Amino acid sequence: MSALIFIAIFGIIVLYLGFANNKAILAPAAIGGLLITMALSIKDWGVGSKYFHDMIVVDNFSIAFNVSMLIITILIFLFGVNYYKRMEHHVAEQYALMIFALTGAFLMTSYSNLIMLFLGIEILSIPLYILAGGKKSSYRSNEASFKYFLLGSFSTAFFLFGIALVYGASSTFYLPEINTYIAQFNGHLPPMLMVGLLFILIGVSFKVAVAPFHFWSPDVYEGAPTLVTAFMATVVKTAGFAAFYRLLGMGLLPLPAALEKTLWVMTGLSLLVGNLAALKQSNFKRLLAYSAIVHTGFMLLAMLSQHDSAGSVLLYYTFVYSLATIPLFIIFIHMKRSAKGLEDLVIFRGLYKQKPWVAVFMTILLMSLAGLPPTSGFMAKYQVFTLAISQGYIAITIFAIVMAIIGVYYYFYVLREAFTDSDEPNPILIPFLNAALIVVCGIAVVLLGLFTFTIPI
Amino acid sequence: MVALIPYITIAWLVPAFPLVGFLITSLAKNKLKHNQAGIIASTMVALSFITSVFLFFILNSSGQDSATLTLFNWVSAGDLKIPFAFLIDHLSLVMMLIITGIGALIHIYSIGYMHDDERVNSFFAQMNLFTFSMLLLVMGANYLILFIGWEGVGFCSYLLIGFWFKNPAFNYAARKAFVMNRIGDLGFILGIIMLFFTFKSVSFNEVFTQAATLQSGAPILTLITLLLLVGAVGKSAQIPLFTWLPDAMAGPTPVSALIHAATMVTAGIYMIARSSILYNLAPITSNVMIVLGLTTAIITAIVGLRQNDIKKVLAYSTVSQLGYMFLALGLGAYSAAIFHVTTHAFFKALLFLGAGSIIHAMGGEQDIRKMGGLRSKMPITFLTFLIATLAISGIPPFSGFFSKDLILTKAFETSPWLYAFALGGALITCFYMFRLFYLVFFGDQRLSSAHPHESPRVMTVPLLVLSVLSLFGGFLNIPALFGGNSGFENFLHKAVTSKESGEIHSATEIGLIIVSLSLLGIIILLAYRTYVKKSTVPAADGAPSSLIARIVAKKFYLDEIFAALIEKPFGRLSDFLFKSVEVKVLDSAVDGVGTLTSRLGSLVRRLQQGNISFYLFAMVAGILLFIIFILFV
Amino acid sequence: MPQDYIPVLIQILIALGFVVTTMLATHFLGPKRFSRAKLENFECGIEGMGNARSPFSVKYFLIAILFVLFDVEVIFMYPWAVNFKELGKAGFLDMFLFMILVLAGFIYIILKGAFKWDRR
Repeated sequence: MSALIFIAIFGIIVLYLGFANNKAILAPAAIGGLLITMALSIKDWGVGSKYFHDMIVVDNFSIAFNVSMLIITILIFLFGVNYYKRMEHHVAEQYALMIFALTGAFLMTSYSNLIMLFLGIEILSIPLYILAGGKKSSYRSNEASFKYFLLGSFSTAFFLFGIALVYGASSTFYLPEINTYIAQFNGHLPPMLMVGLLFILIGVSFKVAVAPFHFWSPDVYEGAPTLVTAFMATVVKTAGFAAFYRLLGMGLLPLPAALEKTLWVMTGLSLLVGNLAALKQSNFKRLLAYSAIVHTGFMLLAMLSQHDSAGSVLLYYTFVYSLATIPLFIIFIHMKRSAKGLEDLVIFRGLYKQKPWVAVFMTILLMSLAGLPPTSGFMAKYQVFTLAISQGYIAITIFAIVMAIIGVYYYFYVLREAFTDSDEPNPILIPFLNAALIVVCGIAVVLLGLFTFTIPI
Repeated sequence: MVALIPYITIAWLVPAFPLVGFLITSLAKNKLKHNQAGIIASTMVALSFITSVFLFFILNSSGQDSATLTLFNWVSAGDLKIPFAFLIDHLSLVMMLIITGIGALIHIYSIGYMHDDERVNSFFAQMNLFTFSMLLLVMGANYLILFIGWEGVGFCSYLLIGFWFKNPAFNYAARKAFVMNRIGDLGFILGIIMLFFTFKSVSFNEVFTQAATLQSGAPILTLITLLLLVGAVGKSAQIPLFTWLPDAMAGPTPVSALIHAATMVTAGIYMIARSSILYNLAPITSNVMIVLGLTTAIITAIVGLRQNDIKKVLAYSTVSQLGYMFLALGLGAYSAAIFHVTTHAFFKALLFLGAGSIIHAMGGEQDIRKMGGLRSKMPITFLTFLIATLAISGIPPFSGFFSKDLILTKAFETSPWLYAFALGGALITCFYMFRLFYLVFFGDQRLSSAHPHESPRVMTVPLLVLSVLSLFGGFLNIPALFGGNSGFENFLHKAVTSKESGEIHSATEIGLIIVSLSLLGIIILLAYRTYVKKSTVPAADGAPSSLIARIVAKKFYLDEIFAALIEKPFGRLSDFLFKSVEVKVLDSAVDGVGTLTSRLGSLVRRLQQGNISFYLFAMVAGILLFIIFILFV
Repeated sequence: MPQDYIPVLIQILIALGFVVTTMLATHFLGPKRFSRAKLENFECGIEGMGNARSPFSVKYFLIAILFVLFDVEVIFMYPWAVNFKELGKAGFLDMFLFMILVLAGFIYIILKGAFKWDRR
């Protein structure tokens, strides 16, 4: 709890640090603050307590996810040191907005009341709308921001409507109470409650980009500044899944059959649509957006097939996925800079020739995303599949495995470009800090695959 | 004393050094300046050697027989639990010392030898990768890690044979080596699978403990040992899978010295010695090994008589010496086989490096008919080559004498016939080695265009070190007959279980040695008369010769027999499979799936046009469909 | 249960029906005469001049949004003020904290120069 309060105030402090006219102190200060937040979070490990009339529950689950998101954000900030060097104005705001978004993410991992979930989602989303439009002079950035805002508020409306309907039926916002209320119907829920629950689920699904509510993500991923895209693909996704997991575990399980089927349909659609659209994709950021949709499908698979033990699988999955995604975006930014702003896959040409070690690490990272051994991405998918098979969901698991195999194609398509010689090579410059990040993440991706961890949550 | 054992954990450093070397030299191969890659690679292997020496002293003074170092749990699926572990015992230590010690010398030598090659950095990267794989092979505590190393060295051998890939013939040789090894590997894999099914484990300790309880001659053991033997035959180039090794001489000479003489080809010997407990219980397999080993030793020695390429001669002699090792394995004299591996590593590496020095001096010429008179031009090479030749011929007190004599004695203990054949092979070896030696160093220089000169010090120093080893290496194991205590055999005794054999009288033994030595002396004189006194030079390739000579020169037509028996039928089968099955059935099916998926991809992509009102429409449509679904279906 | 919503349905129908009926009625009943003056925009009787969609400074929007923001924040003070005595010291502290946060935002926008109208 102290972590939540600290990070909320810390965001304001960073905002004011921007007036110090010294860009160099921003990143270290922001990272220092996040480290303090992490220490404050870990301090509560194993305690388990409730705040604000039980609206907020701080338990091991929320702490584990918060720490995971903090680590990822620190990586992004480390990278930001270099990324924001060229930016003249409003640098502090970039950091502050991400910290604000992180505050929302914290709320999303530790709510037990639907109002808190709504607040969390909004606190997370609004800074993101602004961040997506961070490049004020770029049309595409503006477009991304506007689209995200429009579709986001649209889904928020549905989400709120759902909360209202559920409240109307059960006259409570508290998830445990909703759970007992649902239980009395023995699976035959009144239509109002049914529709309310569906809208709530759709609202959360939108945030994690589940098909068919995924349309915003490729456009927004493409238009937003790459660092923000990295933040959205990792931290936001992690927070969304933590919220999803909580929602099911604390309130809605066992789901009524019809809703469960709906979610299974969404899972299958995400896997299918994400993969198929990625196959023909030539823009790297859009490719990763579609790949993120596919990964969403895998995580849904884990969550739906066996909820109780899915928590640690989700944590592992989101963490290693983030760990592989961030350095890929870093590499992409440098390739894009060397190619004078082009975002096509072609820009990776000649990477192996110029910077063989980068190409090697890129191979590791893409292998992890594709789920090939010996990387941690493989172990994550392996855990998901064993979970699903152990619960008897054979058909959907086979479908998911087929989808994972199709996925290898487009990840390796990127690699093929990287290992092809370029006709007119552009010099690629990778500063030391970024190089170190790529190497550390790459090694971590392999090591986490060799020594898988399970945190009891 | 046992307290020393914790220090054994530094064993992981031994393979780690070459791995680091490989990573540095391969990742920075475009950055490294002249000689840097070679120095880094050599240093890494030398560091491994130093660590191995430390390990040697640690294990020796600890009073324990072996130590297992488990790095992490590697495979864990159901019943199958395989840790990534190293087994440090006397057998693996001997192999580690050979690999890293001789490996370091050859790496240093290569700095000079590969000096002018444009891909010298890649060369050292591959050499380091090879060293790493070879160390995994001998250090692994279970068959699976051994197998990784086994495949790793095969792969590096492929890369290095085809190192000068611009020559199509060299590529063909590399491919041949790879494919022939794969045939052996198939047997090896099957053997490992059978092992797992029989013993529910692939770890050496568990397998051997369990196997010791089985009946001698149990069919399952015979099957397993035969399958493992197939793998060993492929890797150690025995009949019928030996023809790749002479062709493998396409690689740079240091590669031949390291991979195709001192280390990789002895992997099969190592594996069988490691599995000595299994082989002791499978008499049929042992007999097969005796026959295989002896036939290989004699036939390839005969083929060696007619070879004129300096490296080919050495290659056939390697195959022949490997045959002796197999003979020893078949006789149950595992430590004798490993002892021969050791001495052979010394003198054969020396011979190859000497040959490299000669080729270097002759400007790339490998035909011994065009050499001659190099004695005065290259004194150091001459001296070291002489030592090596004496060693391989089995002249006392050079190292080869002790190891070869040990094997011959063991053969005599089993049957005088075996002894006679083995001795015959040794005599032929002696003849072709001195033929080579005299043709190269004596007489007049026959190629006027070359200007031979002594090699630089970076090449001659390893030669000198190896010649010292070849000279004194035999004293590691002085038999009781000469007042020694068979130190090497006793040392290995803790790791491998040799069969007990009947003692022969020391008078008989002395008699045998006298007979063999006098015959060797006659052979050397004969060679001297033929090639120095009469200065005979072998006929040119097209010259008319007798039928037998042609058969020998054509390597008993083994390559052609292989082509007719295996290559052609397989070629036709794969041709058929390719033309009718693959192209017509499989390709269209696979392409169909691919095209379908890709069309669907385009379709899905078309939905995503960036039109926000469509997005909203799709969202609302989705929501409506779901509402209808949950309420009415 | 579904039948509970029938009154709602009836009300929707009546509301929609009223709108449709009146619009149709005016369309058919009213006399129509088109002339230039008739088609002009109605500007309180003054003659229209120029395009209504003329650009004006974005700073206007900024001020407008900031006004709405702080306007809405102040709304929170009404219920507090009404219940000031009942909420007591704790309520005062809460509102104090809230005001500090609002003030932090206010100071931030001043420092950022959002009110400097003529700054480039």
